[in-house]
Amino acid sequence: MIDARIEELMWLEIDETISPSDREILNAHLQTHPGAREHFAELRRMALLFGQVGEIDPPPELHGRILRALETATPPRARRAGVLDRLGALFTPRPAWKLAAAAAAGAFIGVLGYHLIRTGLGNSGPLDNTQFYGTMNVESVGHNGPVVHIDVPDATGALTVRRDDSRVFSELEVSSEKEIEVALVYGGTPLKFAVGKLSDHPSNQVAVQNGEVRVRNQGRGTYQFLFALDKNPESPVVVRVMSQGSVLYEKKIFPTRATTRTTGKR
Amino acid sequence: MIVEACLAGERKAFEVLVNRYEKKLYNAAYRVLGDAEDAIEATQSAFVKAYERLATFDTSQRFFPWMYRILVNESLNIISHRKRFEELDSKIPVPGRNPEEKYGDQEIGRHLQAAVRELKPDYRIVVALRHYQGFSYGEISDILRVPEKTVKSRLFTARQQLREILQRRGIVG
Repeated sequence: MIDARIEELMWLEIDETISPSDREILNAHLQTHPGAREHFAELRRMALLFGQVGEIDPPPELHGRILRALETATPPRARRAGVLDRLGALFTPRPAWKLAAAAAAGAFIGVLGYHLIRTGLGNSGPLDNTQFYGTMNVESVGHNGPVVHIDVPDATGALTVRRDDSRVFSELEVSSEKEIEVALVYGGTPLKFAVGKLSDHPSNQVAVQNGEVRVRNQGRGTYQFLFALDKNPESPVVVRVMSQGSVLYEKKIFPTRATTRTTGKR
Repeated sequence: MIVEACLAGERKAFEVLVNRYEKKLYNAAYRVLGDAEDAIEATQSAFVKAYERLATFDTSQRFFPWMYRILVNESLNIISHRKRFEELDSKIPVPGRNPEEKYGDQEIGRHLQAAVRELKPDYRIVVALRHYQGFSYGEISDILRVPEKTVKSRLFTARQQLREILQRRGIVG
């Protein structure tokens, strides 16, 4: 009968991970125990058996099956919502309509941003609702999917709303040539936000600062906003667009009023 | 770099990872599951899960332990869902390889595979990763997220059991 500790040392020796001191112990034991030497030889033979079995080639269809499965897989960046889910868990679940209204505010920002790109950031005059491009229809927020499609000459994108059992959050995809800055402030009371940046231009940023969410975007960026409008839903959301620190545009929108459909013209 | 390209939306970049790991992962799955179709399913699922969860991968870490960990979990899922703990058919086919290569070791491969399949899943996995994939204790520890001590302990028990099975089958003395 071979002592378990000695057998363990035998395997460490076979695996070439034995320490010098353990090797000494093993060698000393082998020298004085012929049965152990025989046992050690058997273990070596067993390990060698594995070495005689080479790699097998995967069936030819495997590669195609993997690639086909990947075609229908969810793109990885969408999975980063998991981070937001965790952040979102910090919030008390709120009625979906409030969150939906906030999602609409996100859409508002995105559309506004595109408009500014198109018309140039140098124009500091306030813009009119009718100049927005895209569709904002909060009634559709209850469904998973895009609520705003943006398709203008200089930019494309979409605002997608996702919801699970207790939360709704919006994902804004922006692809713009010029840098824009967008701030979102919930009138009077600081918003609680969970924000995330999924894919972006190296200089893109999204952050919560003094109760505002600030987005700086150039190139392609994807942002997620999770809102908790926990006080007075009638308070306005202030949308502020800036370039190099100067306020180019500021407008109040009301979550309740944002539930109306707003379709811009090109 | 490849992971970052995938996260930037380049699905094609992931194919590089498929090409790099497909054969290794299939082999590991096959050794754990002992069935070609199950191994295909585990490998395919592992790649899909890895792709979908790529954003959770810590790029400061090595990719292969993460990828293998997903494969191991997929293999365990298959084992638990299909509940294929039936006694082994000793005629498990060993697919692939050239005829001249498999002629000499096919018998041994069959017996070993059959013996490995008699082990509990946890033991099968460490045997597959150590003996068929050639991972070190540390690498197996990374893959399974268990201490090295646990890896050694599982391997030790697995090998003892394997030896008994192989003795019973007359493969070793």
